[in-house]
Amino acid sequence: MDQQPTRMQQMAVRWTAAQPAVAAFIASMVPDFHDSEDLLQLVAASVVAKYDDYVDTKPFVPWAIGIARLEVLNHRRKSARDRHVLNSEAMESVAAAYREMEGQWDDLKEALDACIKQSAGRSRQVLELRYLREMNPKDIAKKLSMSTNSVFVMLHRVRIALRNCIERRLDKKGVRL
Amino acid sequence: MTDPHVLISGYLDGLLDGQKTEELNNWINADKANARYFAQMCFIHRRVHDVMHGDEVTSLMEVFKSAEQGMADADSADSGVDFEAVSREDLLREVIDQERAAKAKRTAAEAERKASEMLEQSMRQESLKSMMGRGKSANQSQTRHYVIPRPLFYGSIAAVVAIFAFLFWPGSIPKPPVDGTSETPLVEVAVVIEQVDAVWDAGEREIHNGDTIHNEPITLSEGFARLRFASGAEVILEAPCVFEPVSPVRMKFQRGDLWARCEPESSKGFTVESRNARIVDIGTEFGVSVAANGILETQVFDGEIELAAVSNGTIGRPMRLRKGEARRMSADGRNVTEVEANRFRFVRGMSAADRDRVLGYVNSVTSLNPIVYYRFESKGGGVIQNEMAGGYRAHMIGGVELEATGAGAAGRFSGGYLRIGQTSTACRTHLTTPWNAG
Repeated sequence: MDQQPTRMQQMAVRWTAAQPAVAAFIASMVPDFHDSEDLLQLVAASVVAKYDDYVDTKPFVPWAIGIARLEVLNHRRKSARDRHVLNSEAMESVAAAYREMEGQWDDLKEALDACIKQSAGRSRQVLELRYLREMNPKDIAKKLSMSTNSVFVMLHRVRIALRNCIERRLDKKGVRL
Repeated sequence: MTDPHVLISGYLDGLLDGQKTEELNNWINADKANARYFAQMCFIHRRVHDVMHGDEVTSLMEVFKSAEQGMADADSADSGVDFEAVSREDLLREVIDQERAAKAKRTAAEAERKASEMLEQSMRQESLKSMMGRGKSANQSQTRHYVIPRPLFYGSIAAVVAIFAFLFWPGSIPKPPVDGTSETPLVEVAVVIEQVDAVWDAGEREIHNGDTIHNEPITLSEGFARLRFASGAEVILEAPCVFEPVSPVRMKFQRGDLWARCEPESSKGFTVESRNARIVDIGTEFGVSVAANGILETQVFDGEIELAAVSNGTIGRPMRLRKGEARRMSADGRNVTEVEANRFRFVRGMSAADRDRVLGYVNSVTSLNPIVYYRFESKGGGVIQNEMAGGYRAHMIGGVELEATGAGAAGRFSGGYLRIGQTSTACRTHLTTPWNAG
C-alpha cells in the first residue's frame, strides 16, 4: 500500500496554496469579478493539463502565474470590451511583484481576514455593497443617497485602510509587506 | 499626475478611461515598489470579495492544510488508504457532483441577490430584462466551462478534496451552517416617514419616523403609517394591518387597508400580493383592502392597475382596471364583481381630514363652494351649523319639519323654506323640532 501522495495530489495541494496569489494576479489584470472567476477556472484546468511540465524543484506560484498570464492574454484577444487594460509591460511588472511575494500569501491572507472582520459601520456597509452584492459605485451611491464621487472616495479610503491594517499586523509579526 | 491610489481604486472599480489607464501603466512600470503596491491592492480587492462570499477559498485552504498535515502523518503511519487503487476518474466523479450542486446553489443565491438588487435599481420590467441578461451571461460562462475537459478542470480544484475529505479524513469538509444559509437576509426595504397613533407589533422594537422596515412580516395594530419604499413607492397603511414588504417593489398584504402611490419610474410595477390576489401598479395611485375573511377590494384613483387571482401559486389572467374603477374579489379569488368607486374608501393622506372619512367627505363638499351646506350634525340645543361659514346668512323659516323616528333614522324635509341673506359670519339656524337622526 503506497502511503506517499501521488503527483496529482501534490499538484492539487500546491495549486490550492497558490490559488489566492493566482486569483489576485488575475484580478489585477481583469478586475471584473465574474470574468476573473471564469479565468481562474481556465487557469486551474491549464495547470492540471501542463503539470507534467512543472519541475518540482522550482517554485510553484511563479509557474502558475505564468500560465495565468497566458490565459489573461488569451482572454483579452477574445474580449473586445476590455479596452482600458494594463499594457504588457505593466503586466510583467505585476507578475514579477507576485513572484517576489512568494511565501507571504498565508500571512497576508490571515492579516487581511482579521482586518475585514474589524471593519464596521459605513465602511463595512460600503464593502458589502461593493463586494458581496457586487454593486458598482454609481448604484451604491443611489442606494445610500450619496454622490458617486463620495462612494468612490469611501471605497478608496477603505481599501487603503485595509492595507494599512495588514501592514500593522504583519509588522507585529516581523513581516515586511 | 493623478494620485496613484486613486488610479488603483478607479481601476478596480472599472472607472478609468484610456488616459488614466495609461497613467496607471506608467506608474506601475516606474518602480518595482509601485508594482508591488498595486499587486497588494489587487489581492485585497479579490480577497475581500472571496471573504464576503462565504470564504470558500479559505474553506478549501483549511481542507488542504489538513491534507498536507495528513500527508506528513502518512509518512509515519498507515492511513489505510490505497491511493493508487483509486482512479482519477472515480475520484473526480464524486466531486463533480458536489461541485455542480455547490455551484448551482451559489448561482441560485447569487441570482436571488442580484434580482433583488435590480428591483431596487430600476423598473420591474427593466429589472426582469436585466435578470434575463444575467442569465444569458451565466449560460455563456457555463458554456465556456464545458469546453474544458471536465476531468482536467475538476481535477485541479477538487482532487484533493475528494481524496482527503472522502477517503483520508472523512467528514473533514467544512460544512455550511445548517441554518442561516437558506434564510433570506434582512434587507432594508422601506422607511417610515409619518405615523399617527401608530402601534406596531414588532417585538421589542419600537418604530419611529425615519426607521427602516425590513423584508419581514410586521403588524400595524393601531393608527396609520406612511411608508416610502426604496423604489419611491409611497404607501399609507390603516390599522389593523398585517403585511410584509418583500422588496422595494413588492409587498405581501395579509389584512388591512392600504393606499399606494407609485410616482417615480423606479416604483412602476409595485406589486401588492394578498393570499388570493396580485395587484400590479401600472399607473400611479390605487387602494387595496383585505378583510379578515380574505375578501379583497381594490380601487384605482389614478392611472391603471392589473388585478389577478392567485390560486396555489398560479397567477390567473389579469384584468386591467382604470382610474375610477373598483372591484371586489371573493376570498377564493373566483368571483370578481364590480363595485362603486368611493373616493373616501381609502385614506390617501395623513392629515386629520384625510384620515377621517366623514371629514374628508365634508371637505369634498365644501370644496365645491356651495351657498350653504348643512350636515345636520347637532351641536347641542338643536343648533346645526352651516359648514360654509363666512358666506351667507341662512334661516330655516316656517313650516320646517324634520321628522325622526329614532336614532339612525333618516330625516325628511317636509316643508318651509330656507332664506339666505347677503352677509353673515354666524350662519346658524335653529330647528324647532327634535332631531335625533343622522
